Amino acid sequence: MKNKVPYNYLPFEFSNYKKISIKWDKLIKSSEFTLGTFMEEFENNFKKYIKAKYCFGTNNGTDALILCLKSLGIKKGDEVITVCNSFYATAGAIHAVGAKIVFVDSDDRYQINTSQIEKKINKRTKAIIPVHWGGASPLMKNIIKIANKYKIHVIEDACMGIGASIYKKSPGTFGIVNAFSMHPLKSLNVMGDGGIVATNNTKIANWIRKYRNHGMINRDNIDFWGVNYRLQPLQAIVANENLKKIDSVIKKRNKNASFLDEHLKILQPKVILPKRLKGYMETFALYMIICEKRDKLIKYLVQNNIEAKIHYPIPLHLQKPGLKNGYKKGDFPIAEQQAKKLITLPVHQYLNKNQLLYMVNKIKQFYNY
Amino acid sequence: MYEKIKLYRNHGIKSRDNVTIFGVNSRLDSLNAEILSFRLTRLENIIRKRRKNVMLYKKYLKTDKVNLPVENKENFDPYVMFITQCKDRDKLHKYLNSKNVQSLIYYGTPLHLHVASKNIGLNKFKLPNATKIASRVLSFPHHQYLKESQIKHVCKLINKFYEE
Ligand SMILES: Cc1ncc(COP(=O)(O)O)c(C=O)c1O
Repeated sequence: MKNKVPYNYLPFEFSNYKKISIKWDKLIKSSEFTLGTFMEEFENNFKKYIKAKYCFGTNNGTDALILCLKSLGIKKGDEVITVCNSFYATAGAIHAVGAKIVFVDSDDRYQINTSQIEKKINKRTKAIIPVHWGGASPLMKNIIKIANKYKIHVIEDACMGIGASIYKKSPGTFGIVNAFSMHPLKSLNVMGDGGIVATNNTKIANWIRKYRNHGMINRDNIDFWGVNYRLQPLQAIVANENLKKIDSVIKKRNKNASFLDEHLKILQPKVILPKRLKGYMETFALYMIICEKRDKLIKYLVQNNIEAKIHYPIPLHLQKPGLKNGYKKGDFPIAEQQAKKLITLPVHQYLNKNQLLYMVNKIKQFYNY
Repeated sequence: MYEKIKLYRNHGIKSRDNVTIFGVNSRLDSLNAEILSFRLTRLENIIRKRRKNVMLYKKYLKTDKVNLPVENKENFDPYVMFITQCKDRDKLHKYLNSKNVQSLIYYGTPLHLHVASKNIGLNKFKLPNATKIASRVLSFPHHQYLKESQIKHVCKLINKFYEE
């Protein structure tokens, strides 16, 4: 059965990769398969795009987060605060460096609830990781204020945030060192895995530059023991080409999202749209709304060939490793309610008006509107 | 182990909506997997050629100042690296360079003598073998695209270096 409104748009995304393959030919002739000019070209372009002083291509977004944590020396015995509704990798990265994951609840925009952060801070707390969840941004100003007050770091998980902005300022430029993902389903994507770390801090940048490449100063000398967390030039080329299209991708997704907002708001309170804050540009990595009878609705939509999704039905603290860490049902009521009621609708740049209208009408039909 | 690694390398994801551990992203992407699948069909051929090249070095080198790697009966060396030990290594390295023959040192400083080790107190170990070997190792070209005449030429230069 063919999806009338597909969620996965990757078959369209890379259907024409001629420009990429011309660059690949150049790469193959140059043999610069690790680091090198192709990767640097991307790093420089990305740096300009988000207006950061330093950017480093990495294996993926998860490793980018691990690099951020490691660059601040965060380790076993330390605590890191993050939000309980994110992708597994946010918690996984904290766990990977041995630190304790301290969750807080979400707010009504499904972002980290900034009113819940302060009470979780103690003397072991080293950092807060706000997530630009779904490509919308949390209240960064509040978060920075709290972090400054307690002298702890902010690391942004801007994995879904490339192309978003808060009053023209890009995600990944608020925290001291920040992570992005270029997973195929992100706004800026590669044909596999890829990530970026951004910082304005020279000392951190110098450390990351070496640590990402075995701690190397040059071929024969290392400064400290490092790892291999490099972005592949093969993927840097894909990223560089897609960076040229990012603004039009974001624009189209915003247009689609506005269309959905406009048509769905009459269904309130059965359907609740999140507040769209002034000055906040979203990427709409995920177009999420709160729906009454969510499970029935999603079944109905899927039956009608609309590929709706849930991100995610189980929040991080109620996943097996979260429970093992001592969390339980009822700890974070807002996120837990959202996990029961949120639905993610297709909103990608390859959808046309008819598809959007079809989707809107099916939702209205479901609620007998 | 198999189950744990499979989970851990992909965020601990058991099914889309469930994780059993908090893992990481350490997976090979399909683009590279495809390249590797293709390269794998060429692997035996590459190793055969590299092994042949090492044989040619054994044949044409007429000096006892270069110790070639020894292969035990139970080992099969694919010669990813072809690491020899040479008397007057640095001079030979320079000499070959001056004759446009690339040779490489893997590596001039053993791990325990790097700054990285010093900073965590590992340089206190006395590892005389490793230190000695680091001053003698040199790798000559042996890859699969070399012609016999090129290896012959390199050997001639090395032989000549030690004669002088
Ligand atoms: C919020 C968030 N954090 C981290 C990641 C991890 O990024 P990656 O898949 O590139 O490792 C993702 C995406 O997968 C994400 O959405």
